[in-house]
Amino acid sequence: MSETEELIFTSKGMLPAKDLRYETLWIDGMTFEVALQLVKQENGDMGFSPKIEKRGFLRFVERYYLGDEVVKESAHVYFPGGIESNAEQGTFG
Amino acid sequence: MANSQAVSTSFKVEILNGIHAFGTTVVRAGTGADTWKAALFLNTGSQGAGTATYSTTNELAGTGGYTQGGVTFTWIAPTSSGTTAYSTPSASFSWSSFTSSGTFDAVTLYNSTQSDKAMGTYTFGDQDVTAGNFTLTMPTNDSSTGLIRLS
Repeated sequence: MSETEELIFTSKGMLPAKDLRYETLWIDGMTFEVALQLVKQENGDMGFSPKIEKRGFLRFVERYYLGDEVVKESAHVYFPGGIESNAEQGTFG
Repeated sequence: MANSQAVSTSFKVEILNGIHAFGTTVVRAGTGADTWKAALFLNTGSQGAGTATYSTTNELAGTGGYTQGGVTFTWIAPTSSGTTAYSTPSASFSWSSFTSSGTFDAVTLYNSTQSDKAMGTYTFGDQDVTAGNFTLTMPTNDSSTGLIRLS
């Protein structure tokens, strides 16, 4: 029983994926505001509300290289939290 | 018991369901959900709070496995928990066998049924895709992480 070998299109033709350099990358796209909140929380800033908003993104990138040439690049983004909008209520007078 | 001032939580859910109209509204063809789409935008774009309507300006070109206009999706039926109404697309957005026409960093969700009116834009940092796959995975659909929340 033979396994199917993944081939990737490159400037030198179709090459086996195992012959290419493979690189993965995790990118934590947490927003600055959230990061600041976390720092404040860790430092015990009493003026800080402990609410941690889950925003930003987490991105996983995988690349195949032939030399310096990126011949295949995929990315997968996870949104840990969406957008919140406040329905604020006015007052009379 | 005592009276308390508040926006009704049910009203927030009903906003997501298009029940109320304070101003001029539209004639709906039926009672079904609208058709929603998600489109990818180059990092040179200016999508954001000021984006009222989807347009192809700064959208990825319709090449390399990407179709301008983006992909169609559906929302999980809006609901609420506590005083927050929320909803999230029912599945991830994905593009396969995809080569981006440039570096992109945002997805805009818009209502295709209602003249392409925009709902919101989500950013994820600069990204290129070459002969690969691109996936946007949705958060847990609850009152603290749902993709759209009215609190």
